[in-house]
Amino acid sequence: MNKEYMHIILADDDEDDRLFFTDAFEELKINTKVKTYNDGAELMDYLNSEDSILPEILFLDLNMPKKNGIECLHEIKSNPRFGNIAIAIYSTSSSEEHIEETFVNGANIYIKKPNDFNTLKKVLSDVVTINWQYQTSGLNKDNFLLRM
Amino acid sequence: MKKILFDKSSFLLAAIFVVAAALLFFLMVLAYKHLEKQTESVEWMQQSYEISAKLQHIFSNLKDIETERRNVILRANHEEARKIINEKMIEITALENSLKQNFINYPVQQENLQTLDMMIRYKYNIVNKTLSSLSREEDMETMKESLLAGKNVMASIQDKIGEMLEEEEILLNQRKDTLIDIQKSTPFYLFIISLFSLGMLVFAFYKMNKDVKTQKRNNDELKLALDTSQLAEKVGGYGIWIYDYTTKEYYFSDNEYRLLGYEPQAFQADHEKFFQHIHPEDRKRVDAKYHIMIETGSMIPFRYRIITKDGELRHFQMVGESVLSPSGERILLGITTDITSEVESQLKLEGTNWMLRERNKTLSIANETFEEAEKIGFFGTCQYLIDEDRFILSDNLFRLFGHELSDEDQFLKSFEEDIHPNDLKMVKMKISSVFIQKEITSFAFRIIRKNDRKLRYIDVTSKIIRDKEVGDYYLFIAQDATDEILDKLSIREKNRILEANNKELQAFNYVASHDLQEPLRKIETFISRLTDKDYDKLSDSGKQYLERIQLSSGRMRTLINDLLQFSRTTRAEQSYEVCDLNLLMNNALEELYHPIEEKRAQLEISNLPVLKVVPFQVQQLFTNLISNSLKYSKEGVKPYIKVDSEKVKSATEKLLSKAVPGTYYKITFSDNGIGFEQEYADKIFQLFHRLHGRGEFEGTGIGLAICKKIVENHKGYICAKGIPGEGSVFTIYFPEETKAFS
Amino acid sequence: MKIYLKFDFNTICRKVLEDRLNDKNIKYRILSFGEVEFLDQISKEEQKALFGELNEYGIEIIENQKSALVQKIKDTIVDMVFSERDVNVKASVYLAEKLNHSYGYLSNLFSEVTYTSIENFIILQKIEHSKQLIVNDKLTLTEIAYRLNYSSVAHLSTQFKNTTGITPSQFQKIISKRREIANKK
Repeated sequence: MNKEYMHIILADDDEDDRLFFTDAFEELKINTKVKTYNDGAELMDYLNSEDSILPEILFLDLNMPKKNGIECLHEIKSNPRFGNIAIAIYSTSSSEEHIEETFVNGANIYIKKPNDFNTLKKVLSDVVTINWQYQTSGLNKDNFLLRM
Repeated sequence: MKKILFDKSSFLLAAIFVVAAALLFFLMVLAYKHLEKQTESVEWMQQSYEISAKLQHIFSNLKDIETERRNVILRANHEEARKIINEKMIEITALENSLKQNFINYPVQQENLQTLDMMIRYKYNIVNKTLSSLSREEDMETMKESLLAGKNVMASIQDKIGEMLEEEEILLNQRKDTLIDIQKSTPFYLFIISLFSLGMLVFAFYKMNKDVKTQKRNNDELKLALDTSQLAEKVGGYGIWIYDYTTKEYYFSDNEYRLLGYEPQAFQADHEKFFQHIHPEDRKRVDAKYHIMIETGSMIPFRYRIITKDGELRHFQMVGESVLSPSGERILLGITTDITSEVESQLKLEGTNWMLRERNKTLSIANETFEEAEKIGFFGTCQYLIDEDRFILSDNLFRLFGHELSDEDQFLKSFEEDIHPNDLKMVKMKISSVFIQKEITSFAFRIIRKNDRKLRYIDVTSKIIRDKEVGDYYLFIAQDATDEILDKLSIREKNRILEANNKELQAFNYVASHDLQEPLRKIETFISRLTDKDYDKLSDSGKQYLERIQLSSGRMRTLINDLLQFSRTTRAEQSYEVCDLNLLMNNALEELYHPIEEKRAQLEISNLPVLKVVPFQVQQLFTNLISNSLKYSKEGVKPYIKVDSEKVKSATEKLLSKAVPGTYYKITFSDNGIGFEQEYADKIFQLFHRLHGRGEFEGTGIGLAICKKIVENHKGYICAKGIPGEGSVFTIYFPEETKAFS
Repeated sequence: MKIYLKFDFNTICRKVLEDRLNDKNIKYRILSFGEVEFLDQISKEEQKALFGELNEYGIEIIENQKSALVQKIKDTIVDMVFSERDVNVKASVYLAEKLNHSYGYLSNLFSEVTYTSIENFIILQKIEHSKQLIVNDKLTLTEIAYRLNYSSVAHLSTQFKNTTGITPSQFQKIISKRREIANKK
């Protein structure tokens, strides 16, 4: 694993979920730098700014005010500058149609928010690991689809 | 037939012939006579010429004699001369004699001839004298005298002959003239008479020709008449027979034979033969009537049956009348008609008549019933007969509009007043489109009923009926549909409200389930954090409380999950896809991988069909059912779950007795679990209904309700059968028809 | 106009490497994928320059021997999977032989460095390859299962699902829907 940090961003309007997220990453033995944003607008503002450090993985909640997850997804996918970012949808919904829709729209990962902290840790850890494999082993990012 | 026809024409013809013959005869006689005369004349002419010729000859002979005399004088051949002279004299004599014959009837010529004869003799004498003198050598003087005498005689003879010739010529001319006359007149007469005869002949010919033509025409007409009558017989199916009183002979027309089934003139026309063919039962009657007919000479037509040569039964009608034949003899003229078809038709007619009467009865009953029906069904009819330009209104039509059962005209004029003003225009337009454009339309409008001023809805359907007997007419059926329409309106309103409610509920359902998950998840997560981090720091009761909180929240989760599931199955937008149910089954089994492994369940799944379904729903269905079977398995017994599939017809399935008929796919889930009492078979599909307490089995009571919902979404049926302690069987029917999902 | 590309990374990397080295006139010998021997001596400055350039292509110098070996393991596995070698020989045996170390050593090393096991990595590669086969070559699952030495389609399916969280058919569906949308634009 790189000595370098892995940059991770989460956009979620729920305070508790942001807390869980950052706690989980803290407990994971992975070198990560985690940033969180309250809504889609804030997120995009950051990403679009010139000196932004692009994350390796971006976690998007679907139901956010101002700009929701899908909108952000579209925006990100349409900007070649963000082409290297693995996008994970981080949502409470487990509707099959929803999930398919997000993948079709360009998401790489879909995560249903677990109800249990340990599961959350495992999930995040797997995501990061697999994503890292994609980055280091020359795997085709376009085919990177993961559902947890 | 032996009367002589006094024909003018014939007489004329005869007369002409007689006259012509007479004329010809006359002509012949005349011709003969003339010819005779002509011949006579010619003979006479000939004779004259002969006489002339003879006279000339005589003279020439005399000349010869003279010449000889002179020769003798000159020469001296006495003997030769004398011979010649004698010869000549003989000739002359002969000629004279013949002349004498010729002159028998002509005294003048006879006299002349005598004179001539004297002269000739004198001449002769002279000649002889000459000769003798010569022989004696007389002197010249004497010679000269005799020569002179001779010459004088010759001149006299010549004169005489000339005279005779003249006389003859006169005669000849006379005869010639007569001949010419005859010759002239004969042709003339001949010509006239011939012309006349010819004329007569031509006339006769012409007349004959005309007669022949007339005769021929008459003949043709006769023949035509004969043929026509024969044809008429054939066509009319009747035959003519004639009985000659005088000769006691019969004559049958060709068709008379045919009627009996024979070839024309097959046998000798005979009374016995004909009677043979009469039906035995009728013979006596016919015989009697027949004899009366012969005696009295007439008979009103009577009927009887015969059996033809080929054994067919036919009905005949016979009528007879005695008349005088053209030739003046009394005959009995009879006509036999084959009335079989008439008889049959009559029978048929009677049958039809009876049928019609019966039908009429039925119709009038129907009519009365119809009127009653109108009353009960609240409809009235109106017919407009196109040709007659007339309306027929049923009683109930008046009642519909609240009018008295009064006259039509008043109704027709005033019914527009009853129509609701807002609808009047539309009604008028529709009515005119029916009449003018011949469009068949249905339309509805409101009226204010006349008698009670109540608002009613009238529904009108129109139709053009083309009836052959009555003619074409428009049929209007007006029905008071007020109740229905009001019902419909209220139902529609209620429906609308229900749908709106439904939608709200659905939305609420979904959102609630979905949004309820959030706080629940938080609770669960925080609980897990707590357990992870600070479990040890809790007191015993704290730990216990925490455990219970966990349990409760777990239950809540299950409940919400189930509710969410349930709401998903009732959502309006469902996408049907053609799906292989085996794949869905596989997915379900994968989902249940853990419980299957845990309980070491044995599953036997047969091949499932490919159907048009909502995939996630059917997958859920399978998951729920199998999960149930796993859950309600017997303690310590390995669950055995069998899934079967087959195609069935609704008719053969007891469970589908109330279903929409058709072909279905029957999928059964059977297990060897704890089963249930059959009396609860329907209840278990109810929402939140449970057969076991929470203590025994976990569950929300939604699972089977969801299954039922899903099956119903697919227009199918589900039922359960349980045997307590042995197991349960869940049967699902999916209709084959994909039309159900359009 | 839209075209679809398939990347043969081996060739690409090799070409880049060769180009860069030739450009700098450095004599070299390529021993295996990811292993190059310089035949000349190169100064530190030159090295830095070269490595800098290569970095831009995403080619990194592995300075750590352990990392190098791990990389070798990875490469071998990738090669093994993508060439669809008929693995009668077990992967472990194959790797041990090829890399001249015991499988146990290799395994530990791999986990230490990458935090995942070799088995997992192999599975990941296989699934990755099958993804490619689905997308590019449009093979059926049966064919893919056969090519990648799975005992059955179900086995492949299960592994696919375990690795990615979705079934191969779902994957296929998503990719084709993505393409549809891309085509409409």
